[in-house]
Amino acid sequence: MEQRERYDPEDIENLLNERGFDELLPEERAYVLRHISGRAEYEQMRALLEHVRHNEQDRSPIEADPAVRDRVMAAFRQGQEPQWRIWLNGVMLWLKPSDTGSLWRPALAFASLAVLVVLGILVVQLSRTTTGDGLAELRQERAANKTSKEQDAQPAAEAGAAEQEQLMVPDDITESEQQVEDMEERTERSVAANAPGLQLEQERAVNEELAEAKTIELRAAAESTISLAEHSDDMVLSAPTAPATIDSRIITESEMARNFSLSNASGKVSAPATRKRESNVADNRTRSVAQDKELTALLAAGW
Amino acid sequence: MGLFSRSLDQLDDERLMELVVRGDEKAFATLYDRYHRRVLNYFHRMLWQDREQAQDMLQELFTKLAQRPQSYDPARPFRTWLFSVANNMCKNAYRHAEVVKQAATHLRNGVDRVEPVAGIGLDRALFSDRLQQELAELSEDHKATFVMRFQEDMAIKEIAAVFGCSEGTVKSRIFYTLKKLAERLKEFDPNALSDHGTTRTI
Repeated sequence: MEQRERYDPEDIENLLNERGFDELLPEERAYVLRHISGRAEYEQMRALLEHVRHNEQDRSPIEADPAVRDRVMAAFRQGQEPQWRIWLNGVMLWLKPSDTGSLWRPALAFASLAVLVVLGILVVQLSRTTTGDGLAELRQERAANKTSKEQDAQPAAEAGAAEQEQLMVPDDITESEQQVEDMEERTERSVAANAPGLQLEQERAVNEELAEAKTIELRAAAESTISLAEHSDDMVLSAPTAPATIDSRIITESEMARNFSLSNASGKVSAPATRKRESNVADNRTRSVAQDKELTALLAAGW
Repeated sequence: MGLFSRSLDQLDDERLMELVVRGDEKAFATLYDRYHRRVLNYFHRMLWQDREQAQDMLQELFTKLAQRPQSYDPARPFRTWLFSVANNMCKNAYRHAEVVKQAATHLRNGVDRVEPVAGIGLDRALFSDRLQQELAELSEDHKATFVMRFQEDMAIKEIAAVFGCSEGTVKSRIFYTLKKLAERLKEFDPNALSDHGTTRTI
């Protein structure tokens, strides 16, 4: 039973090609007889297959006309030509599609995407603006300091060229110096506004006297107090404590005198001293620092 | 990966079709040269041995392939795909050519009057004509299956792929086609003649 199930019609085809009905095994014959009526039909089918085989061997295949090949190849070349034509009505259809109902979904998606992109750009710009304002203000301040410094440095350089005595001032203290100078200018303006005549004359006289004395004293003090000034935290500038560098500039005696006369008899004013001085300006605007005997003594001691 | 490119003749059909899709004219010419003879003879057998019609069908088939090479399914073997397209074209030809069918029937009636030569004097040309007539009487699928199997020497698996059916279906078609043709062409069986000892007239 199982052996019979191994066969199928294709196996019958193989049997027809290979064996006659009398050459079949008993199980093969039993299976063939399940599909074929008997020996006669089996032999007819076998003869048919043999005839077909011989017929195909004798049959010469036909050949195609070469013109068919030429036409087919021409069709292939034509199909490979690029089509670059763009019709205007097609462009109009693209710009204004007739079926707009199916486009609202992609349109909504693109609109949402555009909104997100715009919001992102705005956020980035706002963040940059916030951080950039502080920097811009700082740059303006520095630029203003540089401008005033250059304006001051130019006459100082001219005057220094004319005079023989020079003092070296490090460049890293120019900012604090500039602040002090600005404060002095404001003080001068306020003082001049309150008592223009008398106070100016008094101060001018005191300044001239003090300038001569202090220049000499300062020269000696600068040489002796270099190391001391380096360790002083409160003193911003007392003398040319830092080594003279290329960035240093020369200040004249008149500049020094002016500094001493207004607010900076010790050469430079520290931050607490500046604050203290600012608080006292309103109460005692006519008082000159140069008249402070303690400070003068301190300078004389080479501090 | 070799240093030298292989000749197109050495490439298989599927690789050539990839080149055809990219616009390679030589690859298309190679495929045509490889298959045009077989396809032409298939059309010739299937379409009443009409040589002109077979050439027209051949040109139509390869023109379709030239104009739309993307229609080829890369998942299928090219040979199977090509014969399935050819078989569909034959079906369309059967449906739209009733006149041809009537003409074939008329020829069959004329042949019926011919008394075959018995035994060793079998006329193979006569057998060929009778075979074609009897094949024309079969259904399209049975005829195509018989032609592919015994005249194109295609495997059962390939035929099943062409028709998109199971191999068992193909085997069944072949068996019943053989059985039917053997019954109708039994006058060409020399054993039957010798067994009965008489000449039969159809």
